[in-house]
Amino acid sequence: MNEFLLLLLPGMMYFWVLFIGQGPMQEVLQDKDNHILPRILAAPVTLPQFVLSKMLRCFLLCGLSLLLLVLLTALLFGLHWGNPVLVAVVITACALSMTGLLALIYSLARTREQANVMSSIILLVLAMLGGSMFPYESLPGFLQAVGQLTPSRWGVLALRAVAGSKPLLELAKPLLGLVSLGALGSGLAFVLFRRHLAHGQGR
Amino acid sequence: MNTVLALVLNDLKRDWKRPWSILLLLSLPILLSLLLASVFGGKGGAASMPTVHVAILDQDKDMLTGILRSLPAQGDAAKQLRLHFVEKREEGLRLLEKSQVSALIVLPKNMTEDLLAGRTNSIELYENPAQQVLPKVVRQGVSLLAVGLSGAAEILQEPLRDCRELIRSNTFPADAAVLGVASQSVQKLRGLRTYLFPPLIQFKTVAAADYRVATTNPPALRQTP
Repeated sequence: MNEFLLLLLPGMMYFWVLFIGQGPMQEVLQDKDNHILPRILAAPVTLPQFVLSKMLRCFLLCGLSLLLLVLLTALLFGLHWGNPVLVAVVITACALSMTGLLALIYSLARTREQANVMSSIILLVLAMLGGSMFPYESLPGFLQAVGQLTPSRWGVLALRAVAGSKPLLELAKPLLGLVSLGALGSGLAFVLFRRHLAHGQGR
Repeated sequence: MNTVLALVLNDLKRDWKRPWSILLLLSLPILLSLLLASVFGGKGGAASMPTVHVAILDQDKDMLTGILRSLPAQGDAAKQLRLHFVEKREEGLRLLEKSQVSALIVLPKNMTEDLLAGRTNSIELYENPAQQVLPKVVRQGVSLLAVGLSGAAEILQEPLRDCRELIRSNTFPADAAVLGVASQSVQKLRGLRTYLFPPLIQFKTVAAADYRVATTNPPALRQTP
C-alpha cells in the first residue's frame, strides 16, 4: 500500500496545498476591496512591502504545509521520502512555484470574487492535467503532452524522483520548471500587483 | 526587509491562532490518498488478492468433474477460489443476480464420456455483469481449463478410460490393473516430457521497487497489421 500511497500523495499534496496558499493572496484583494489597504499604507509600510509580505507568507505556508505532510506521512505510514536534503530542495521549489502561480492568478484578477472563480478553475484544470486527481498515465496522449507543461506534474515528478532515489538529472528538469515558474510568476505578479493596487490607491 | 518580516510574522501569528482551516486542508490529501489506496491499492502480498466466488452446476457427475470439484480445495487456490455447488441452474442464476458469485459454470451432461470418446461438448459460463474484473478472471480460467482438458483427453484417453472403469467398479481394483493404468500413463507422459520440461519460456515478476519508470512519454505503440 505504501507504494500506492507514494504514487497518489505527491499529486494530492500539490493540489491541496495550493488552496492553503490561496489565503494570503486572497487577503491582498480583500484588503483592497474592504478599504483596509489605505490604513495599512498609512503606517510606515509601502505597497511593495505589503505585496512582498503576502507573497512571502504564501511561500512559507506552502513550504511548511508540504513539510508537515511529508513528516506526517513518514511517521504515520512509514513512507520513505528519500534524501532529506533533496526533499527540502524539492519542497522549497514546489512552494516557490505555488507562490508564483497563485500570485500570478490573483494579480490578473480585478476583484476577489473574480480571483476565486479564476483560481478554482485554473487549479482544477492543472490538477487534472498534471495527474493530481487521477493517474496521469491514463490520460490520452495529447492531454499527457499538455500535462507535461503543468506545475502539478513537475511537482509530482520531483517528489516521486526524490522518493524513488532517482538520479539528480531526472530531478533537474521538474525542478527547473518549478523554480522558473516561481521566479517568473512571482516577479510578474509583483509588478502587476503594484500597478493594480497603486492605481486603486492613487499612488 | 524588516518591515516585510514583521508583516509576515504578524500574519503567521494570526494563522497560528486560527489554524483549523489550514489543518483541514492539510488532512485532505492524506485522507483522500488513504481512501484511494485502500480501495485500489490493497495491502500487498497474497492476502490482498480477492476471493473469487464461482457457482458450479455439475450435470456430469463423473470422474473428470469429480476431479475438478476437488482441485480448488487444494493449496493456494483454496484461499482465492470458493466454489458453490448448486443443484439447479436457477439456483446458480439467483446467486449471480444477488452478486454473491462472479460467475456460474455449467458442466454439461456426459462431459467425461464425450471427452474420452473424442466428441465435442461445451462448458457454459454465465458472467456476473455487475462485476468488472473477476468474471473475466473466471472466463480466462475456464478457457484454460477447456484447453487443458481437451489436451489431456487427447493424450491420456486410454489410461483415463481405464482409470474411470476402475473407479466405477465396486470391487477393490487388482494390483495388475492399477499398475497397467499407471504404466500406460507414464509411457504417454514420457513421450511428452521432452516437449514440456523444462519450459523454454519462463517468467519472473519484478518488484515495483526494482524498476525505474521513464519520466518522459513512452513512444506511441505501433499497431500490428
